[in-house]
Amino acid sequence: MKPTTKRIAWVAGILAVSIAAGSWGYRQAMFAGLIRINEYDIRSEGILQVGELAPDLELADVDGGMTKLSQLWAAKPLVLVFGSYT
Amino acid sequence: MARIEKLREEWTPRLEFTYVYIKEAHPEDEWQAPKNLESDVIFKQPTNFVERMELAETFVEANDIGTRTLVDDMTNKANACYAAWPERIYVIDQDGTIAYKGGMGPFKFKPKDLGEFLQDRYSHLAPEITELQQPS
Repeated sequence: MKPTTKRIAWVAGILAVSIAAGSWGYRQAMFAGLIRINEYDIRSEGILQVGELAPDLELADVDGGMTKLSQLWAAKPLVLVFGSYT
Repeated sequence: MARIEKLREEWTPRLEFTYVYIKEAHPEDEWQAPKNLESDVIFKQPTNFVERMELAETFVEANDIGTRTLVDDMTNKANACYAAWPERIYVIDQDGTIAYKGGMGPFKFKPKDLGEFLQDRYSHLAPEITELQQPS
């Protein structure tokens, strides 16, 4: 292999590794919410931690009336699933 | 939500499962997602509580949700308190402490992890005997 060819191969290899590492890093940061995808991306890790007291809220029930979360978790352990349709 | 519903069926009545419907993640007037176009889930972001409640009801029907669903208010207080958007899972013990905090959706919303956690922590809870199962 000629010295010039060898140098090109090295540069191409380093470039490929750099692009792969950068792409991986970007994806990890995006998954972690460290990079905002657009102005509507309002993901946040929040401050609540396991072992802390959960905020007690009173929220409207689809079936009518209001429900306090503490009424639910007082009866049995509560699995709370947050989400939307879209 | 189908995976969550499966877990709910498995763990009811030992645990209480409740959904909290929050601010839409991918409404057509904000951040439209291609998968929603493909599946014809196309809605605008509700601008008042009546609209939000209507869309929550649609969400419940479309996903065949069989348990209590609460709705965040227009100040998005539930989302603010629990850093819930776009989706997240918590488990809260009877003393009000957080036993499990799931990852931030959508990339770290993992019902499988929840299932493993429930198995580790609550498998000792005996299923209640229903009336049908009780000896006559």
